[in-house]
Amino acid sequence: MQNELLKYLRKETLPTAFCAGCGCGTILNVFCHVIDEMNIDPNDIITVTGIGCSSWIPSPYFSADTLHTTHGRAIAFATGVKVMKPDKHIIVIAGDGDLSGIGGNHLIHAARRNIGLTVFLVNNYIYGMTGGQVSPTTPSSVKTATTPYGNIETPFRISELVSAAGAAYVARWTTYHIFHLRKAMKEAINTKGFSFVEICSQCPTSYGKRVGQRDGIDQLKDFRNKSVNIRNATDEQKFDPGNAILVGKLAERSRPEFVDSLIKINEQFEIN
Amino acid sequence: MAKQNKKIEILIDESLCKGCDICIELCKESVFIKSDKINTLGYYIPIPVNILNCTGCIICELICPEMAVVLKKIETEN
Amino acid sequence: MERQKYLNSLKNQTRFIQGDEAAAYGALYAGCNFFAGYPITPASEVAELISRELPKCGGYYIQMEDEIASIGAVIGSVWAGGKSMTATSGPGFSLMQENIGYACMTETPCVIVNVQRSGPSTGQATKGAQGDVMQARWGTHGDHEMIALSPWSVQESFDLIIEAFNLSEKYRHPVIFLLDGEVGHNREKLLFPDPDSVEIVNRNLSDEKVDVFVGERIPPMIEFGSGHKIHVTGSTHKNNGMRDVETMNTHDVLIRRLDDKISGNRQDIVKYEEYFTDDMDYLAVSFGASARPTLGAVHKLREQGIKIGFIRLITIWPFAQDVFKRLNPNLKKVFVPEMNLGQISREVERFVHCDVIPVSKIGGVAHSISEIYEQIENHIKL
Repeated sequence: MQNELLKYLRKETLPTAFCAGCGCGTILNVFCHVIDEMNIDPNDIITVTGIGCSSWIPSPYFSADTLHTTHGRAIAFATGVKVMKPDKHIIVIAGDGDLSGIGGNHLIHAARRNIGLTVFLVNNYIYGMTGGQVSPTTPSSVKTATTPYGNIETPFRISELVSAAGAAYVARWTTYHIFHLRKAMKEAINTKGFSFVEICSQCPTSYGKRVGQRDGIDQLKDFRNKSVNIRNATDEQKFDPGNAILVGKLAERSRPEFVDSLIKINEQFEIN
Repeated sequence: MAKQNKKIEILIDESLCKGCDICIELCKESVFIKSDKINTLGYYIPIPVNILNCTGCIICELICPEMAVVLKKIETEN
Repeated sequence: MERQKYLNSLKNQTRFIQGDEAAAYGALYAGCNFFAGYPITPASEVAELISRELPKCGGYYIQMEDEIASIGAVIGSVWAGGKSMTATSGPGFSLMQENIGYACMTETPCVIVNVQRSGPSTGQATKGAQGDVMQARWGTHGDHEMIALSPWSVQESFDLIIEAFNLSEKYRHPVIFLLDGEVGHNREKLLFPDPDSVEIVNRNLSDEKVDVFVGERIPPMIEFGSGHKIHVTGSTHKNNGMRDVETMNTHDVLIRRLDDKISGNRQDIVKYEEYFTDDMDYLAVSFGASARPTLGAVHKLREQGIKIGFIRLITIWPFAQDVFKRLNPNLKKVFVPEMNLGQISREVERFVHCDVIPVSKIGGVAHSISEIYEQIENHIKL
């Protein structure tokens, strides 16, 4: 007996290479539900991905046109794809190190341009695939493979950053909040401009074990305990969440989408 | 307790399960237990022994990192 | 429609323009419909003209946040059906190398214009040079081939970039267009041809669901949106595009095929010009901006009775090794004027049996005819 939603996957690549309990698997699962419930034909999806564990969600697992690019550059490649195929759903899935570290510049410019991409940033607080080095989202004082004396840096608040850059839709959820996550993914896909969902995700192997959360379930419970809905957050928490994870919708705005504006330039030269 | 007008079946795809226990731990009705059955991947798989407690919330189906859990709601006459 | 009307409006016109601009016009003739770039001296004029004229042809210009994003957007656009190009100079070309390697590995046709300037690093930003020859060949990591062309005039900047697009489409390979600050910023006459007389080659697209990367030298291309759910990756991959890094044979077969695709087709790809090579005791070899004073010097030497021939490389990579291998073994010396410290001369050296003397000039000023003449004459007298 098989899950019908497996039809959205490249079945010959299963079982996945994800560790037992990995949040990437949950995200893939929720994504399949989303595509199914929205009745989107996978032929209308083009996934663009980078380098890292979460980049494996579309490559190879989700069955659609897939562009597996270089580290940090998925959004740049996706920009070119979107301009030439504006009617497709261009969905970028990659990690915190990929999209906010090496790829940070492309992330904020795409948000500024408001180009109609949907970005699911999988934040596992670490460079997982390479064995657990500190990432731009690793909390302070955590001992990682490259911060053996404790992380002396402060992590990015990526969703706030992307929101400030001008994205049309920004939300943050965790792999514990699967129903909210499912809804946010749908809202993001339905957004005309640049839509962004930061998905805090458990990584038992490269992160969890470094902070005493050895199983996926431990981190999921931690997400549950630490999450504060942004609607209920105090001004102080919004300014500096500390250990709390502010979840919810951070931005929803409507302004001209980049490719629409680009097409308008050409319209003045069109021969009727 | 279980709804009377719907029968719920939970199917575990043994070929995919990696024994992460998330479905067991997060089920609010304690439907699953970890069995001593080992699948071909070498993991102890969950079994929905308390299926009658299932409310059909589908947390297990949505959260399973391997898409190995499927709920089937079957209408029954009552 | 728009493009045809636009090109017809240019037909048979002459303009007095820069090499950069000529290259941009050539791209429009070639069917370029997407350009992503970043400003850099001395290449910005390419982007500026494209930003103005490409929309008139129904194409799209985007200015990206950096050169890495530019080449990334170019590659992404190609898989979505674009015929795409970017333009930069040394520092930007250095940034693009990783993604150029991605284009090689994924067999993505695209044209990268490098209007060379003095390097390394910031160097002489406003001065032309020819120091990126080896970088064009080996700038990206790993075993790979490269196609690079170098025009020597404004007219050739136009004609040759169309050939660059044709080669990139035919071979599904990135092509580096090695302009330099001299030719790029020189103003000369350009004659626009009849667009119908220009040969345009487009990629071989596959309709059927075939393994994209089949065992042939140049597999047909399937673009996104074809319904085949293709998988494109920079990782080592099997014939069907799926990643396979575990099997030694997969990598061996793939990389050798990618290399052989170019090196095995040298006869078709390599272009050059010969002058006075029927009877020569000496040979001059040059390309791009340096080739012009070299030809002048060769004429002058011939007038003095010195039997010197001249080969002008048009294709820089793959290197014209077959031409040099078949040269008269009694050739006494080869001179290579170039605006670098001897990059092409090193290649020539590999394939000839006599001394190869670089006639280098760096500092951002092109050779003069007399400079080359005197250096060659002095060496001959030794």
